[in-house]
Amino acid sequence: MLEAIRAILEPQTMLTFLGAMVWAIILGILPGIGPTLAIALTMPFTFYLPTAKALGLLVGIYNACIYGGSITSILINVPGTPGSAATCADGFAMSQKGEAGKALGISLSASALGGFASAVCLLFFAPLIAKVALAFGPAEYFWLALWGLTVVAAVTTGSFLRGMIAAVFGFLLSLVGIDSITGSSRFTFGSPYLLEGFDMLAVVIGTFAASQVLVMANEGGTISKAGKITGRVLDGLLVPFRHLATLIRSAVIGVLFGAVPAVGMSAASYFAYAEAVRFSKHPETFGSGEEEGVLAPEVANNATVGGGLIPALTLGIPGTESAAVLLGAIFAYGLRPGQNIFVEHVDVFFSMVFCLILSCLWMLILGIFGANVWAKITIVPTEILVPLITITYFIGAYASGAKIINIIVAFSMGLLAFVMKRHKYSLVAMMLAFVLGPMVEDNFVRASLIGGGSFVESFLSKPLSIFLAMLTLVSLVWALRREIMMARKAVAGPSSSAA
Amino acid sequence: MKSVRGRFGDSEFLLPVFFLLVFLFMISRTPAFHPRARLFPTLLLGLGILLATTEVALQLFRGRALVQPDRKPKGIRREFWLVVVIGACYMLSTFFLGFYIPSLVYIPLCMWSLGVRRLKTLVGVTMFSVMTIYLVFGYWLSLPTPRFY
Repeated sequence: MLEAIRAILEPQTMLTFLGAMVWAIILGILPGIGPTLAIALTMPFTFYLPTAKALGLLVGIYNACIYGGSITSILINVPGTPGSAATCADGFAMSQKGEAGKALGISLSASALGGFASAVCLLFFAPLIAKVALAFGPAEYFWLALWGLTVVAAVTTGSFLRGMIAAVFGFLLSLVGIDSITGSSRFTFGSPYLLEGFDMLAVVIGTFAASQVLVMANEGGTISKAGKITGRVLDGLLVPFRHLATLIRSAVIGVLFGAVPAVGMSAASYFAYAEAVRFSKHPETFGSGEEEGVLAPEVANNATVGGGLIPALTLGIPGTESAAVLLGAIFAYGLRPGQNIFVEHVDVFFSMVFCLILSCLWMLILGIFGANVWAKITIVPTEILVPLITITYFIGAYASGAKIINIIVAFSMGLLAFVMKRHKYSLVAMMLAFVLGPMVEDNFVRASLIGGGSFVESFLSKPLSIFLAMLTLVSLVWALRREIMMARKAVAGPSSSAA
Repeated sequence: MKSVRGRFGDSEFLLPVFFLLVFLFMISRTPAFHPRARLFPTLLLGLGILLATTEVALQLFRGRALVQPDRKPKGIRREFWLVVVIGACYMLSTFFLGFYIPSLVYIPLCMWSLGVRRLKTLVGVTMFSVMTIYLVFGYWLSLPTPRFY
């Protein structure tokens, strides 16, 4: 282990690593380039490095790129990666209050802590977490996704009914395309462009960025309503330590969602956000610049890095899309997951873990120096930002899949999201359903087929599925109780004030 | 109290109607699906129709939803419509002219419509942003941008 650390700490390697971190953060900021593409773009440049350093560098790129995605989410409501979309709601609201620096500080510290927590889990709990991840079958995936959907009520800050309509619409969008079980097309209207379904990044960019462009055009002024920046980066750095429960909960969600194959970063960050709302004593403040609303998704999305690597390194099953590309790099370097890495090339494993931790430190240093400069974008007049954000989101939507239809989707979603936002239809609920929808349906059908139609056989045959089903039930009861209490409060409010 | 007829022109009322119509249209397509691929969309759209109908009914007859929004949204400025129209034209032109040429026209036009009149700003921002995007996406990363066909 010490050998691996010493190799990484060589001045030349450290300089290379610093350059790579800057590169990764820039790639994260650019919409349309997620960590997956960032790793793929960087891979050719790593071939001149020794294997341990090269793979460590790629892990660092993965981690820093996710952090980069949150910068634009906070400053201009344009998620750099789908995983940072959940940060938009409260991060951008903080920018509007002039607290962009503080929001960037929270995201920086949260991302670093999320990455660090996942590195610790990768180092000490990899076999255990891999075992849990392998226990997930269709029934468990179904309950997990359903559990996620029950938090729609929690993230709906206005009318519950409108939140539910938005969620149904989001779910409906996820159904467009070829059904993965039967192979038949649904809601494609004969268009070959729709066979693959709506591109997630195009929908995310449209919902948040395109709608924000329209809001800016309608309101004018600057993003920071006060026209100045008051919050500093350093104010935000300590925020995660004031919300330790949210920090730990989000890190656990991130690691587990990263480790369970095919769940992913977006679901993890939305789920962590929703859980932060659910556990908050003042859930009504979420969406209007709540610190925990930035903290939770940022911890979770970076915690998926180590989580995604756990099944990839132990079993050869990538937990996330980016981990799949990293796994490809591992194979390209002539290594094999499992015993080959953990026994024969243990230096490579330690190098990857150490580089993940090192990338968190570099992120902190670069973030502290850069954030106050980036925050200045919130006092640039919207007359200049509107066309610039538009061309950036056009490029971002197109780059994800190189399809013209993505630009149309982003533009149309922007118009619809603008109207929905004006009438308090929850965009977060819509996105949550869009992300989790396919997981619910596919696994419902798969579990039903495996169980031969019997509900108990299909969905409650294993202790883990029973546990997740109980969690879903508790969550549902909690959500209903909250809605009833809020409705009672709303009814009692006017009469009590009249009295 | 607002009359039923007056409510038809209210966007608070029109949005749930839009969702209701979308859900109704989509559910009409489901019988053509494979039986196994039909179950979930039908259930989901059924739920959507129920929810949207309830919201429409609440707007129409009670004049309010379960939880009333704090306040009515502000009006729409003329600049908003200009940005939408110019943005739509920009989107359509990228299909035929690629990315860079329409961007050179769109950026200054959009800024002009939002009230920027200084020639230096219009030209400077346009040239800087198009050059940056070309260098980053086209040259450096070699990522695809909409092309001129």
